[in-house]
Amino acid sequence: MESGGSRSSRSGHGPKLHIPQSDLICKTGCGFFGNIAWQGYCSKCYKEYFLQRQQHQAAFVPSPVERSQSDASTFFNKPESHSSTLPRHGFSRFEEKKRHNQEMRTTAVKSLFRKTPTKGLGSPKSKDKRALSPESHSAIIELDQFLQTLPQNAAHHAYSFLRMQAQKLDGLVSSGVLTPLEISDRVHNIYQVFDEKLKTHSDMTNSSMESLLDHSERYLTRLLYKKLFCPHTCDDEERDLAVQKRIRSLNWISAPLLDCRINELDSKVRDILEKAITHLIEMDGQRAPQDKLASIINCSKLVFEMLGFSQPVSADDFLPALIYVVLRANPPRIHSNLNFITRFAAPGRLLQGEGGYYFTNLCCAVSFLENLTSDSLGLSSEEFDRYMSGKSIPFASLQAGVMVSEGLRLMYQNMSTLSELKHKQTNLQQQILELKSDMEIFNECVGKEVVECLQQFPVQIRGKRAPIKPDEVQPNESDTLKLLPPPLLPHKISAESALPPLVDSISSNLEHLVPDVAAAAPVGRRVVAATDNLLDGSIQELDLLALNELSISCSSSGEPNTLLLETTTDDDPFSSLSLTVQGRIIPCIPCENISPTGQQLPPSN
Amino acid sequence: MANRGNQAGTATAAAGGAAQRPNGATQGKICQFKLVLLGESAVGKSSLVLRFVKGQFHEYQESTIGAAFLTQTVCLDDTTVKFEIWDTAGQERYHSLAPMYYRGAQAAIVVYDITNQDTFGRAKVWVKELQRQASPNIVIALAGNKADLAAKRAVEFDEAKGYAEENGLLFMETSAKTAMNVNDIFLAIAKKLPKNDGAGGVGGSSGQGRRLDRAEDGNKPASSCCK
Repeated sequence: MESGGSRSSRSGHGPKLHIPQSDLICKTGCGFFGNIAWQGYCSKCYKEYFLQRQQHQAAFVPSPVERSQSDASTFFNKPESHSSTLPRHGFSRFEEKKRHNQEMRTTAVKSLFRKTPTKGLGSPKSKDKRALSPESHSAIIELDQFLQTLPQNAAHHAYSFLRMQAQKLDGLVSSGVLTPLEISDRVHNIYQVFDEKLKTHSDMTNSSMESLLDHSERYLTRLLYKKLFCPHTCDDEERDLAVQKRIRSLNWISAPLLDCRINELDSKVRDILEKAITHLIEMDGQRAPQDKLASIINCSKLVFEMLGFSQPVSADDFLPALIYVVLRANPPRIHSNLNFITRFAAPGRLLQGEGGYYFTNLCCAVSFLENLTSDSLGLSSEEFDRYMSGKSIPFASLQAGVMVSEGLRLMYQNMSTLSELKHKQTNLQQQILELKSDMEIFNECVGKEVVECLQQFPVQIRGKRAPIKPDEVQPNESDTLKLLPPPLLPHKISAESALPPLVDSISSNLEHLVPDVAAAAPVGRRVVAATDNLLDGSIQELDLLALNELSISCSSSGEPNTLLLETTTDDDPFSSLSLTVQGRIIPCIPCENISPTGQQLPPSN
Repeated sequence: MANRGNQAGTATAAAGGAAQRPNGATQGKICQFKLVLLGESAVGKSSLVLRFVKGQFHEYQESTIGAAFLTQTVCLDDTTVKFEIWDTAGQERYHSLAPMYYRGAQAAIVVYDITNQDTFGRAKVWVKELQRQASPNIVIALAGNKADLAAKRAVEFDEAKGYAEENGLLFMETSAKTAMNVNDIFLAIAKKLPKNDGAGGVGGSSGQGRRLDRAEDGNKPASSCCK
């Protein structure tokens, strides 16, 4: 004890990153390195020292509260800050710690149940609170919270029953007279009796009853986890170690040996594999059987995901993959965990349902690995022995990066990536060549077709024409120009001159009406002024304005004109008359854009 | 032997010719049964189940990643039968693990491939093992799958039929590809299963297996203490 004190004075105050070399050597001077957690002794010397001190202090038994304090603080505080009067159990032998924990728990649980339920289970004022692990504590709080959602009567009943049973079970388990199977039977018994009791409560719905059963299972197992999990009376722990060792010795097994189509070099697959492994390892951290099952289900789902890129995954693929995941994960205390679930999960949970199926698969996987022989891998026994003894490693495993260091695995991965890239590169090059030849062929084809087309339809190259300016073109220069009507010109009308057909008819009428005037019609552009011989002059005029004026003048003319005027003034004079002259108007559209051949020329500015 | 070509996706459709009832109706009994699939790998165990449960063959759907554990409900008269189908790995090397799967199973389908005599031989081994080691009143059905490949047939119908009759098995030749007899074989099993003592009563309270019966023995000391 003094040595502990001197140690802390030497190493200075508070946490320090740098520790002098002399502090690292075991204080007894045995030559091995010591450890702060062992008060500066090496493990062997500390053991001796510890036993010695125990004998000295046989009379002194610390109270559970003090113990729990020391237990908790050894992990979280620096040992130096501790007073050296408290024994340090944190890193002492596992068995020792377990025993201490148990004593502590017994007192804690018993004192807990002395409380009345009305106080609230998780009230922080309890002085025993420190004695409970956070897990057990939260188990109580969770049950408390759930019970508050139930009818009061049922909740009270359920609580007092569970409390009683937990207490009784705790006593029985602590006494250590029961075999694991007996404990399991008792727990199942509790579930069943509880179920029957619940059925007497008519105010409970089926679903709330289900979840109450679920909660009771969770409560009991979490509260008494330390005692129910891997009890002393069985050899679970040894088997855990055996399985772990076995799996470690099988680490040379690669996926193909198991008929398993996991391609570990695919980074996507490896990511999922790692997640699955995490879930499987996490199972050990869960306490309630249903939480452990949930971890298994999560792991299994990831296994499906890992395999199911191309097709639905059947058990033929799933089981080998799960075995492989177990092999890679080497989950801690797997045997104890499986046993715990088997013993304490509610009835029906394991023989049915998704959880049951995946749990069965996991059991199968572990059992397969435990009983694995050379036959089950399709290897000869010499080969198998050689691999088991580590004398050689299957080449496939080496390739798959199973048994190699991280660096080597990375190298293999990079090599595969590189080869993939190279493959892609080659492909690309090939495709480039293909494209090139395609383009050449295309080029040839087009050329050929063009030549063919040219042969079929020879091109007649015409001489370049001078741009034609319609204004300058003489009427007799081009034949096509003759198709166009002649430009409008004021007509001189003589008696003999031929009029356009419609105008002709009108004029003939007019002539008929007023023959003498028509005959002597003078020609003038502005006819308005010529009111005396208006009829004649205006008919000659093709200008609309003139025609309009004509109609006006007609309306103002005398009796003999009535017949004609009725026909022209019925409607708008334009509509009737413009029709008659339309043939003459259209050609007046400016025709700069029209080539002499009648084709449209592109705008030439 | 009606070739049921429908894509039996829902429970009512799967009920086929039996008295049908809307899917949600629960006035009848609900029975839950565990059914294991046994047989050599690649005889089409999972195809058969996928056809029964999802009406699929080959077409891969995102939702169908896992075909190892599936459930399907069929309606039979006034009873709703919920099948929980456990697929097993068919490889020879995993054969020894099979008892873990069929423990507590009420029904089993042993599948073989009619184009492969070896798978029929393996099926016989399974049947023998089931009769010896599984629960005594397990309903066993023998399914000769890949009946659509009758041209390449290696196992005669009469041979298998005779074997099934000798051993008191249900027998049908099925085809997951054409859906022939797929629903029928499950329905036949559902009919043959005892409905009164099956796991899970009305209301679907979680099935109480034999585990409970054993716990019953240790009942007295516990009940004396509580309350």
